[in-house]
This record gives sequence, structure tokens and C-alpha cells, in this order.
Amino acid sequence: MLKIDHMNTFIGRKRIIKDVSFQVLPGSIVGLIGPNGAGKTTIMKTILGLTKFTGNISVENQAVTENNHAALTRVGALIEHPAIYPFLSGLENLKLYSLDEDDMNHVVSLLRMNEYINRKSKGYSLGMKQKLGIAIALLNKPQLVILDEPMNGLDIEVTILVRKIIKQYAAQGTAFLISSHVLGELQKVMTNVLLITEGQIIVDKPIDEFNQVNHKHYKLLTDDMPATEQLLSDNRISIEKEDHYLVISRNDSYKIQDFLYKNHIRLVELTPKGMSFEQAIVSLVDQQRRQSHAE
Amino acid sequence: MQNNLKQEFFKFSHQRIPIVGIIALIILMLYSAVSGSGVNQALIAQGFGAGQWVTIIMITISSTFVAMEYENNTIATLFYKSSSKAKIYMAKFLIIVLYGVALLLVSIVTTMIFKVTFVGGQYHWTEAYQQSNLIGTLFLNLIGTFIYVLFIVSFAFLLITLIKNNPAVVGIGLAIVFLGSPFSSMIMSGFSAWIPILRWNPLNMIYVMNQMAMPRVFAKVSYLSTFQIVLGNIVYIVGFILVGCLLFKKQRV
Ligand SMILES: Nc1ncnc2c1ncn2[C@@H]1O[C@H](COP(=O)(O)OP(=O)(O)OP(=O)(O)O)[C@@H](O)[C@H]1O
Ligand SMILES: [Mg+2]
Repeated sequence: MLKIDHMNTFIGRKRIIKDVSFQVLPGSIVGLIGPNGAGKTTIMKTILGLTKFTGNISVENQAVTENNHAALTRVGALIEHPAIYPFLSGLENLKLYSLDEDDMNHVVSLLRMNEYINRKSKGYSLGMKQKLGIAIALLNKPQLVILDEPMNGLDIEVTILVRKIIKQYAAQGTAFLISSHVLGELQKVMTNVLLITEGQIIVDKPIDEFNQVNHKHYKLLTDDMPATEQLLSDNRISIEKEDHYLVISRNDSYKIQDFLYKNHIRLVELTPKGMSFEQAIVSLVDQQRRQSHAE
Repeated sequence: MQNNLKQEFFKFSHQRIPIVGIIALIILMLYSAVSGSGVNQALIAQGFGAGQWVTIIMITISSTFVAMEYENNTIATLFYKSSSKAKIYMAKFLIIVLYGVALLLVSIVTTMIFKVTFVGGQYHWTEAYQQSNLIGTLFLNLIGTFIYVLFIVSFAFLLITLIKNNPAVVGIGLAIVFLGSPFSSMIMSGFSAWIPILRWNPLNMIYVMNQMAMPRVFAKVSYLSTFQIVLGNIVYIVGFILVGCLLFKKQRV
């Protein structure tokens, strides 16, 4: 679907994106994550042929260049702020790009905008404008949708709705590249994580793998916690207390289960305790920063 | 290109600006009709100041029509949906020029209505006036205005692309229309030895509005023959469009 090969983006003479390569497959939802100024928006603009770049970008094997956007015919995008003409109604804004009226009406009702779609968009709230921006990106059954911070200004209910719509489109084969600061929101929807700092990609992984890596610790709950604690410290197994759980290392988990069984303590719960997704991201970014400063 | 034109027309026609422009033109012509020492042949032949008023309105509208893309964050979408920035630029230019023609047509109709309203049948359209008759002079004035509209619109497009500040472009445009020609005449009389060169300066091009209808009088003011001033305007227009288009193509968002 989208294939990016050794892409470098320049703003003026400055190289903002440094040798970036990745792919977005049909039906996948790739989260582009990184701190402010990392280059998320710049990557998206480059894919849309809006910046000076070197390397190769192709959509469905058709190259994108600064002067040829033919490959972008079936690419929808929302970049930074929704592109809305305030003197047009919501529907007129959509009509400007729509090739199929039925599809347009479908998108409007999917996003539940019927009530105000005929009003001048000048009077829309922040969230209503954002929804309209997302609607524009979803027009004409796109093969690829690029969304820059799509959840900006959306309330919880709408966020859940948009997440649902994204999954729905992805299930039909649409590929998504989405950036966001609100990691929790993306965590629930994305299939792949693309972590970027200072213009470079430092992690490119399916989300499942990402989660597993962080499950080095388990949370343990038994029917007799004081006895368990005593037992484990007697056996020099390192533990930590967290709420009413004991946190143990994954490597010790079989050994611990044996001890518990022999001492007639019943296991109530033993679950992986990852760093939260957010913690994992922050620590990876930190790590990268320290490395690059050490160089 | 057809698609670009359709989109730009859609955007332009769905604004309030075109209607406001037409109403403003009629009001300003009315102001010309009642503010002076009465309606005479000269005022009718000039379409009640239509040349000046159309030019002013066109500066404001053309600059705004480009600036709005930057103001509404639509420029990125506009650019990525199209392979050719030149086509976007030209589509916008053509739509605005078309509107200029519409304003000129409105000014013709309004002039006819005002003539009947203010002086009844006192002057005949076919009676001799200047080098032609009354209606001929009116048309020549409006053709001159049309040429200058092309000049000022292509200049406003270039300037807004360059500085992206709508109020500034409108201000500069108005200054050119109101102060440009006296300033041009002043420097030409100040450096009379340099007239063969100075007469080609861009501020001097505004005289095309009057010189079409009154070539002999205005040739002495502009120091250019009618052919020369038309040619000068065309060269500037083509130059402004080329440079503006080139700058627009270099725009990154
Ligand atoms: N027009 C510009 N001129 C100069 N530098 C720019 C320009 N646009 C972006 N940059 C630089 O490029 C880098 C990446 O910016 P970009 O907007 O892509 O970051 P981002 O990851 O989208 O950040 P945010 O999370 O704040 O949206 C930043 O260091 C920024 O300073
Ligand atoms: Mg950004």
C-alpha cells in the first residue's frame, strides 16, 4: 500500500526527517508516535508530496513526487488543522472533494453530523470542525488515510465513535497512518507502532510484540498474602509490593508457583504487569535521547 | 484544469463577497452621480467613475481570494489534491478575471439606468463625444479599465503570494490606484531627461484606463502612444503572472 524508502525531508537546507523507511499495509492502522517536534507532521506532509525530499514514496506501487500527485487520488488526509472554508456549509465543504454523493452522505451519517451538516461551518465548535476534517479524509472510499492528531478537540463519546469508524474502514482494507499525543487512544486502535524522535524512526513493531516486550513482571495474588510474602522472602526471591499485589519477576514465576503449591497456598491471580504502554514509550524515547546525546 | 476551475468557481460563488462587490460598485457609482456638480457627458462616458471603483473592488477581492487558503489551512489540502500549483493559480486568476468582466457588465447596465434616472433623454448615446460618440467612449473607457484590471489583479496575486498579508496587499493596491499616477507624473516631470525610460514604469500603466477613449489628451500625460501603453500593460501582466506563478509553485506548506 504505502511504501517509504530512505526518505529524507528538507525544510530549507535543514534535514528534518532522516533516512526513514517503513510500510503501511492494507487494513493496518499504524500509529505514528513521538514527542513534539519529532517530525510526525513533516512525515505526513512529505507523503502527500508537499515538501522537498529524497528517497522513494509510493502508494500502490505508484511513485509520489512533489510534482506528481496522481498516486494520491485515493488518499485522504487531515493535516494539523481541518481544512475548512468557513463560508461553506459542512456539506458544501465535502462536496468540494466528493466524487460520489451516496458515499458522502454515508460518511456524514457515520460521523453523526446530519443535524448540523447544512449549517455554515463558520459556526461549528472545535469538535464539529475536527469531525468535518475527518469526514473529508474519509471521502471517496480511500485506500490510505493519513490523520494528524485526529482526536484533537473530540469528546470521549466522539473519540470512541471515530475509533470504531477507523476500525470499520480498516476491516474493509483501508490503511491508516495516524499520529497522536494521546497514546491511550491510539493504543486501542492501532495494529502497528512507529516511534519517532528527532526525525528518526526508533521503533517499528506490531502492537502485540510491543506489549509483550514490556511484560517482564507479573502481579501475584494468593489467598494468604502475608504467608506468601514470608515464604518468598525466606527463599530470597525478590518481590515488591504494589497495592494488594506482590510484583514478581517473570523468570521466577514457575519457581514461585511450585513453592505456593507445596505450602498449600492457593493462587488467585497471576497476570503480566507491563509497564503501561505510555511508560514504555516514554522510556524508549528517553533511552534514545540519552544515546544520541552521548554520541 | 477544468476541475480546478470548477472548484474555484464553487468557492468563489458561495461567498458573500461577489454580491457585496456588486452592491458596493452600484453605491459608489451612485456616489459619483450625486457628489459632483451634476451629471454631464464626461461622467456618463466614464460610467460614473466605474473604472476607478471596479479597480478598487478587484484589488480587495483578488487578494482575499488567495489569502483565504492560507487563513483557513486549506492550502495543504489544495496542494496535495492537485499535481500542479500553476493550475491552481491560473484557475483562481481566471475566476477573478471573469468576475471583473461581470463587474464591468454591471457598470454598463447601471450607467444606462443612472443616465435615464438623472438626466432623462438629455444626452443621446449616439451623439458625438471625444473621438467617438457617447456610448463608444464609455466602451473604450471600460476596455481600458479591463486591461488595467488584468494588470492590478495579476499584481495583487503576485504580491499576496509573496507577502501573504491581505491587509498589506490591499493597502498597497489602493495606494497605487489613488497615488500611483500623480507620483508617476511627478517623477517624470522631475527627471524629464529620463522620460524615455521612466514612461515605462509600472505606475504609469494606469493611464490606459483613460487613454483608450482620449488618446490625444492622455498621450501627453503618459508620454506613451495608445499602442505603447497597451503593450506595456500586456508585458507587465504576463510578467506578473509568470513571476507570481513561479513563486506560488515554490510555496511549501
Ligand atoms: N516551516 C518550518 N520551518 C522550519 N522548521 C520547521 C518547519 N516546520 C517544521 N519544522 C521543524 O521540523 C521539526 C518537525 O516538526 P513537525 O511539525 O513535523 O513535528 P511534529 O512531530 O508534528 O510535532 P507536534 O507533535 O508538535 O505536532 C521541528 O523541529 C520543527 O521545528
Ligand atoms: Mg504535528
